[in-house]
Amino acid sequence: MGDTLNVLAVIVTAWATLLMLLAFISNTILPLIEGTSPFITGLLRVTVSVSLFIAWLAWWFALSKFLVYRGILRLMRARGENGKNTNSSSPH
Amino acid sequence: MSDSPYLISFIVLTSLPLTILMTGAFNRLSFRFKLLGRDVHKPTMPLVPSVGGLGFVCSYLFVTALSLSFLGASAGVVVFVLVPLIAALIGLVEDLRELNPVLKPFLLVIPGVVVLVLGLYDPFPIIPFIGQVRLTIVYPLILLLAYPVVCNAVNSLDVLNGSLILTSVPVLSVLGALSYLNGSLDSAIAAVTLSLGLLGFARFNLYPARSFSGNAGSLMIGAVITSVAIYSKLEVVALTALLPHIMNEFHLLSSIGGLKSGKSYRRRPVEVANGMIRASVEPSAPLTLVRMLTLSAPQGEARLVLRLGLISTTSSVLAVMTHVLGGL
Repeated sequence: MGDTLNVLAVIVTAWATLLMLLAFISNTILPLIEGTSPFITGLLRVTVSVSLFIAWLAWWFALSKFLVYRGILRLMRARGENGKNTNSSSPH
Repeated sequence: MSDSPYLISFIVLTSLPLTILMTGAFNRLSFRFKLLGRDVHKPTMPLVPSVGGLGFVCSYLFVTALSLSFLGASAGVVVFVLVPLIAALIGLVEDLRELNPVLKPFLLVIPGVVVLVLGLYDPFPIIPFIGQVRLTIVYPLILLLAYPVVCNAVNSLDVLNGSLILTSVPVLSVLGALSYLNGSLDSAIAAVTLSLGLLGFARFNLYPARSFSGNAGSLMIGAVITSVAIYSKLEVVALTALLPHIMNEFHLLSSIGGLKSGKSYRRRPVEVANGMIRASVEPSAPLTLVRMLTLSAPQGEARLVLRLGLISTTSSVLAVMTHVLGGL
C-alpha cells in the first residue's frame, strides 16, 4: 500500500498546488497587469498564465520522478542484498 | 415531448445489455479471424480476443446517436458520435496493422479539427478562481492538442485486465454528473452511456480477461472524455480527473525518449514471476504508473488494477472539489 500512498500523495500535492497557482494568478498576477492597454493586458495574461502552468507541470513531474527514482534505488539495493544473502546461505 | 426524459433514460440504459451482447459477438469474430492478443501477465500467456472493445464502441455510438437524435441535438451528434467514431476508426486501423507511432498523434488531431472547423467550442473557458477567460487564439491550439494527448493517455493505462474500465469510469461518471448539473444534457448522456457500456464490458475484461478492448475502444474513450470536457466547459475539472493518466503518459514518453511504439523498446517496465507483477530494477526501463505501484512489493494483477481504480477515483473526487472550491 506504500507505493499507492506515494502516488496518491503526488497527485494530491499536484492538485493542491494547481489550485494555489490559480488563486495566485487570480489574486496577485491579474490585478498587477490591469490598467495597461487591452492588447498588452491580454498578452501578459496569456503569457504569465501559460508560463506558470508549465512551471507547475515541471514541478509536479520532478516530484513524482524523484519519488520513483528513490523507490527504484531502494528496490535495486534490496534485490542486491537478497541475492547476496542467498549466496552466503548456500551450502556451497 | 413530456415522455422524452423517460424515453432517453430507457435508451441509455440499453447500453449495458447491448454491450454484453455485442462484445460476445465481436469475441466470436475475433477468434474466427484470428484477431487475438497474448495476455502476458498470466503464467500461461493465453490468447484473448483483441478487439472485443468494438462491442462497447458500437453500443455507445448507436445508443448516443439515438438519444441525441430524440433530443434534436445535431451539434451533440457531431461532437459525441462523429468525433469518437473517427478516434475509434484510427484505433481500429492500429489494431489491424501497426501504425507509425509518430503518425498516430497527427491522425488523432483530426477529431479536434472537426470540432474546430464546425465551431463546436467556446473559446471562453471558465477557470476555477479566475472565472471566464478569453482565449480566442490559444484555445483552438489547446483543442487540437487535447484529443491526441487525452486519447493516448487513456490508451497508455490499458495495460492490465480491467485497468481501462476502472480508470475511465470514475472520470466519465464525474464529468457526466457535473455536465448534467451545468445543464449540458448532451454531454451527460454521452458520459453515462459510455460508463454503462464499460460496466457491461467489465464482464469480459476484468481479471481474468476474456476480451481486450483494443485501441479502438481506448482511443474512443479518450475522445469522449475530451468532447465532454470541451462541450460542457469542464476543461480544468477534466484535467484534474485525468491527473493519473497524464502522469503515466508523461513519464512513459520521457523515459522512452519520445513517441515510440511499445514493441520497439526492449526493456519492460515490469517483470512477471509466479503470477505476480514486480517493478523492473533497470534504470532505463520505461517509467509507468504500474511500475511505480510495484516498487515496494510484487502485486497480483487483480489487486494492482483495484489500486489503479482507487487512484483514478481519488483524482475524480479532487475534480469535484475543484468544481466546488473554484466556484464553477
